[in-house]
Amino acid sequence: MMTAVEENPVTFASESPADEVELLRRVAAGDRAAFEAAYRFYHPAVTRFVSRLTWRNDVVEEVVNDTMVVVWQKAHRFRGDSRPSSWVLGIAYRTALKRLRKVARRSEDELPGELRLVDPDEPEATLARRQTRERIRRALKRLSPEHRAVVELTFFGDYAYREIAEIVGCPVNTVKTRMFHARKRLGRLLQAMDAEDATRRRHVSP
Amino acid sequence: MFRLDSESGHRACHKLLPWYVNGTLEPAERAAVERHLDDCDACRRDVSSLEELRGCVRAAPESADAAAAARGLRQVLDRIDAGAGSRGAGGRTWQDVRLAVRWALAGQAAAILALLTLVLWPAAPETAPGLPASYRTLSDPPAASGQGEDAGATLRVVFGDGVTEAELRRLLRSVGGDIVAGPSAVGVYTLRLPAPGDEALERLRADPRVRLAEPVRPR
Repeated sequence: MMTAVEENPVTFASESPADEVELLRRVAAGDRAAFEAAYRFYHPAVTRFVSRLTWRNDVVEEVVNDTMVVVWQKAHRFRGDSRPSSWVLGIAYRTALKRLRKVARRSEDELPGELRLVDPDEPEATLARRQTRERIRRALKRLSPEHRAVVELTFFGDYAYREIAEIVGCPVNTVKTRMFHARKRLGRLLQAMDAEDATRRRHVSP
Repeated sequence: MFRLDSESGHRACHKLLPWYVNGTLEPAERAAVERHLDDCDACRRDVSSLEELRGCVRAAPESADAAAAARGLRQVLDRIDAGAGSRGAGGRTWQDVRLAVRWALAGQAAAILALLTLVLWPAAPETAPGLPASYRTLSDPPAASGQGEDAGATLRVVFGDGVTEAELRRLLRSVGGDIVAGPSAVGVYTLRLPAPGDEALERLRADPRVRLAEPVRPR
């Protein structure tokens, strides 16, 4: 059970949905101990999701905490029509988008709170492979947060498109369309980077 | 059930591939996609590029650690106690507002821009690469102040743009402080003072070369 959680960190495999529903019900009743338990339970996944969505260290903690305050305030509104974890991630999603709109972005590549990644494959990876991954990451950062959320939930959280629709609060077809456009844009960005690199190589070694 | 052998079928399959790759399609959809993949080179190539993308996305920032969770929980409980707990009410605590106002008053547009990044400012590069350990709030005590209680004070200071290093050193000597960290990416220095810092703080705030000076609240 534990390893499943570590490998697949945005999902909540360690606790059955029934327990989560009960936990939220107690939070809704104002039970602080239950809220503390909920906080500890959701904190890792919410933190990861918000990090991936914002790519900014400097807003992650604030967004996570704002999210959990909303969980405390709004737990009584949870009706059980989605999984509790989807409901919580949905709050995190909206909170993060709101926060991102407020943050003045200086440039897409030089962010003050730039997130650093730890790639488990990195030490053994060949140079070419590392360059490819680095390029994909740069391209990912240039997606809109709405598109990035769908990509991250799909590939990092391994969510089905129906669950993603619940989290981001849109129809299933919109999720598919966002993914479609995100892939197209990623492809174009990667092509543009290839072209830039080729130009640079020509300048460096004439 | 749908057929994926027409042009529209190809498009439908193409749209489903990300969830084929992450293994969450319903069995019927999965079977249909697999049948289409047998005949479609383009979609097979897409599967391998999506697998590459997945590998890249999963190269994750390090997981949130227990210390970050504990700190966050404390902050959230404080906010709930301070009134954010009233169901339906939202927003920030009075402390947040007061701090924000003080920073905004501190002046120039650059400082206000810096505030956005300062309220939760990025770690110095030498800290651990893990994400949660590497961000801290303005009022967090620096790591260095963890050893034992002493009467000194810790301040966070931002100097004006034109301040030279020599001026900076003179200024620090005049208040008897040492730089223990910084400048951060947004130009924040952490100063350690040997004595309680009220007087030094006033002197720094009064100095035109100092844009911002804030004490770090002890825990």
